Amino acid sequence: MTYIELQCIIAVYLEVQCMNNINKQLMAASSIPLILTIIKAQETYGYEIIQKIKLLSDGEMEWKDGSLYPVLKKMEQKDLIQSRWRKTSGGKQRKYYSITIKGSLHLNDEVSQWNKVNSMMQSLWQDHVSAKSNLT
Amino acid sequence: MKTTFSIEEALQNWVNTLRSQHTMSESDILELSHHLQDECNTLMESSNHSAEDAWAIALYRLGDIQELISQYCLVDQKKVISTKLRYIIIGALLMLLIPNLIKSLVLGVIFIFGLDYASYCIMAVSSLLVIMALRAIMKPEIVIGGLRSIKKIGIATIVICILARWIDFVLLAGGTYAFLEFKTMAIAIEEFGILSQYIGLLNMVLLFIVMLTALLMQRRLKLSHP
Repeated sequence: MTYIELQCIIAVYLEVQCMNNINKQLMAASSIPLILTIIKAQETYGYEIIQKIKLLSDGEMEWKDGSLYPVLKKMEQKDLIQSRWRKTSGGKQRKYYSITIKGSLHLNDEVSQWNKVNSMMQSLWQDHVSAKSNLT
Repeated sequence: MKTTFSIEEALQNWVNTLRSQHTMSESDILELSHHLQDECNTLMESSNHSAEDAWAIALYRLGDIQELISQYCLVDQKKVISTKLRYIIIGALLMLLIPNLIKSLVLGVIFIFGLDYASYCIMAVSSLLVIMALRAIMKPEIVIGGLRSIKKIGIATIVICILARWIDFVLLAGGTYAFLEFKTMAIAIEEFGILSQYIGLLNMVLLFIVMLTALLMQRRLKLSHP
């Protein structure tokens, strides 16, 4: 293996690592609004939330299942959501989560912030795409 | 040799391991165990995985358990510290009160029944404590589970007492010491009379309050357990 090949591999590896880091940061930032939105739609439990996230992201969100539960707990401590144990029709006990008033307000706030960032990104990227097409 | 894998058994072992670490609440453990069960069921029904494979995949998807525990600890940090402090205070109070309670009980027994019965009582209580301590060392979850096998411990204590009686162990070892120790106490009772009984009663009331507080705290710590 030549020196250049080795450098290329390291560069690709670092790029992938960097991409993963960005993904992780994005995931962390988006986890609370994502969970709040799902819970707002209906009272639900941890496993169902994970399944919905997987379905929505087409399995691209690499989230370890277990890491959702401490997040839910933290959100509960912040009074964004509340939980209660409920028996399902199958007789199984499940911990169901529902959104609180504080959680709804927080979600509204998050939605406006995310929309602002999204519109900014869209306009910036449109300029970027048009500049790129002009060059070619 | 063929072995049959049971998800229920594996789940129970997994839950016991988590419980033995005393870092997560019962409610959290239960929630995670339900998650694992749901995941296993889905994998077996939709993908036709074997029970063993489903269990391995579900565990992998759940993530590293130590990492998960540390995440829970970060969320529960304040509560973990306050719980430890509470237990330290309760432990210190019990350490102070239990010797006094034992003395009071023995004094009471000597006062009412005489010295012979007192030595039997000491033997019975000490045997009970030794068995409980041994069981707690061997199986710590018994203590957490609320001394479920108290019946067995009680029966074992009675058996030990009968055996001790037969081999005259009570008189040879503990009995002789107790006799000498509490004979002086019996004299003290005669001297101080009714006052020592009141002190004993006061100690018992104090211990009862401490036990009740510990019980209430334990209930509160169980959070929203179903």
